[in-house]
Amino acid sequence: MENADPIQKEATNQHKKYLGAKSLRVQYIAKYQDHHIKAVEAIGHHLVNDGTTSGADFFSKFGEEIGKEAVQDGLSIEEAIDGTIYLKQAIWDKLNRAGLIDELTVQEYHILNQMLGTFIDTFASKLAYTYHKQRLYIEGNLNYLAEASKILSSSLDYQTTLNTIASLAVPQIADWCAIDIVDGRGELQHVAVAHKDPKKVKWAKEMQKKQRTDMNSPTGVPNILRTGQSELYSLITDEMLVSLSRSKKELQLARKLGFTSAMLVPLFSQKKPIGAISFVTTETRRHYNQADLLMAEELATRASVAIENARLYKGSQDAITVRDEFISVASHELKTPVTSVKMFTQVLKKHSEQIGDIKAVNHLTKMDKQLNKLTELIYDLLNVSKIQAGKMEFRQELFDFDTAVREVIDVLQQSVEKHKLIIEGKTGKKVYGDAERIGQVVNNLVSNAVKYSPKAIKVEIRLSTNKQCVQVSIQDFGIGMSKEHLERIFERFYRIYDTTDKTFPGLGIGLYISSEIVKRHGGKLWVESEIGKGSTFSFSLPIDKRKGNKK
Amino acid sequence: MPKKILVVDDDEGILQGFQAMLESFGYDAAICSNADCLFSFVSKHYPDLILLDVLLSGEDGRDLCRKLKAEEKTRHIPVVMMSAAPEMETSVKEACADGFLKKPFEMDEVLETISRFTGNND
Repeated sequence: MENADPIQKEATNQHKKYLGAKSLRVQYIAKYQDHHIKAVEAIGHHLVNDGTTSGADFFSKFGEEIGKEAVQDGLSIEEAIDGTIYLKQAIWDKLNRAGLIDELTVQEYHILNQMLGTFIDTFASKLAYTYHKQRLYIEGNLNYLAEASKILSSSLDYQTTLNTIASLAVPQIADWCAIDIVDGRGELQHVAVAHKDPKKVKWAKEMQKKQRTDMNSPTGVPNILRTGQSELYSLITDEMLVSLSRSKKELQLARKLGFTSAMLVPLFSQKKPIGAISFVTTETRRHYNQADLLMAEELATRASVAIENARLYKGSQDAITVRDEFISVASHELKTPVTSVKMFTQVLKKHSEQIGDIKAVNHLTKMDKQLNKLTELIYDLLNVSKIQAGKMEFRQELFDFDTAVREVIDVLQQSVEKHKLIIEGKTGKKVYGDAERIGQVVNNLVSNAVKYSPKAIKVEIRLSTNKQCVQVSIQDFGIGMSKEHLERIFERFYRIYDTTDKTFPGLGIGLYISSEIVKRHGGKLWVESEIGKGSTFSFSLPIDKRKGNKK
Repeated sequence: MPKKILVVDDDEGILQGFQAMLESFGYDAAICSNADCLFSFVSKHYPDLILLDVLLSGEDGRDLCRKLKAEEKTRHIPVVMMSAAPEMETSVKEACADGFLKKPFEMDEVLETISRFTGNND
């Protein structure tokens, strides 16, 4: 049969040219050889019995099967088609070896060639078609998964993110997507529901309100909550609808909606199922398979992590609120006994003065001073909680900036023994705001300056002004601080822990309060410092332009 | 006659502190821890000054102050209100109080305030 080889060669060349074939990976050759055997048997069968049409049908189905399988195996389209070229060669070989081809007349040979051509072409085109369709389908799943993951990690507000995820599933993955989560009272809540028709979403939400989910239902979300196992319904049959519907009305509705396929995957929190994501197809007639379920489960795992993170975040926020409330209540409660103790101290001191007990007077004076310190600490704590709750109140009045600063320094100087507090310059300006709070800031900065320069003998307070604002800088000649502290020094509860020197007590709230007060006055507070050389804290406040400063 | 000062506060420690302080300065101190005691006291006696806490258990001192000022018999008694919250000063003075004392007290300030409203304690 001299014509056989050239024709077969040409067919192979055509395939190669058309598909740019590469060779099939070694580990799949055995698999494709099995396909060849199946194909040869089929050809034999159809040649003898049924003819071209039924043969083409067979090869169409066969192509679909191998196309799907190739995607699952992760083969490229070239590799998959390569197998088919290999197939054609194998078929020729086998027919040849069986002596079939040699015995054919030229006409018979052409018929056989045509038939084989039809079979193989049908097979190849169906394979390619299925392959591409399947790839798109899987890529759709992967795209959805990637997009959904991005959304999940974008926010700690999981109600919103879950809604977006449900909407994103429609229509690419599902016609319906619903997310249900058990709330604090153990009731199932529709956290999110999406359908391409907003009317249907509204309807679904109303249905949910009207009909409480039967938590004893043997299937669906209640079952998932019990077992933590996914449910996959590739094909929803009418019998299933009949058995699942609780009433005629429900059945009618289910039939009307035309459910085709569904998959439900569990959401977990601390390893316990807390809800489910349901994907349902109706109009698009898509049938979910095991690969879809894997994608959905992967998505649910990621959503679970997001929900868990959100819950943890909320928990930590709640804990902070509780702490702030506690500080507020505790500091308020502390004030009452301090008030009482202070009264008795002063009465005792008065009494000691009257009887001339100098020693007792001295002790009681010190005790009274310590009580004042305690009071200041309590007020600081109270201020912090007020700032946190946004409840710190400020007076709004015009005041003389220089006088406010000077008054604070004068009072402070009385209790500072070693350091001379030197005021340089003046602003001569009035500022709008709360003089007492601004005084509190100056008090805090100067007290710090004294505290952190134990070996120095002075603190310099410089007043200056320009057209827009007044400024005060407080310079000490003390220990200074490193750059890493400078960046965090105004944070709440931030303290410098020095392993070599632990002699500086405090709650780490003074600078936080000061910076908040300055901020609320529309000004700014900053620091310059160098280790061993001291620090300069400065703040500036806008000058009130309305009145008093015009001259 | 020593001046009669009525102190109203829901904290026993503060009441005792006042009692000790006022008595050591020769005042006639009376103490009440609630509204009933306050109104029962003023119906029988006529204090020269009332020191009234803003935050009494279950009562707002400002309401009690308004009530005192609304009564013919008690409206002339000066009322000084007390609070640990310095920002209360404005609101109590608006409510009717004649004076304000911030807790914890400086004894000199308390004595100065009392004598301002009652004159010399002879």
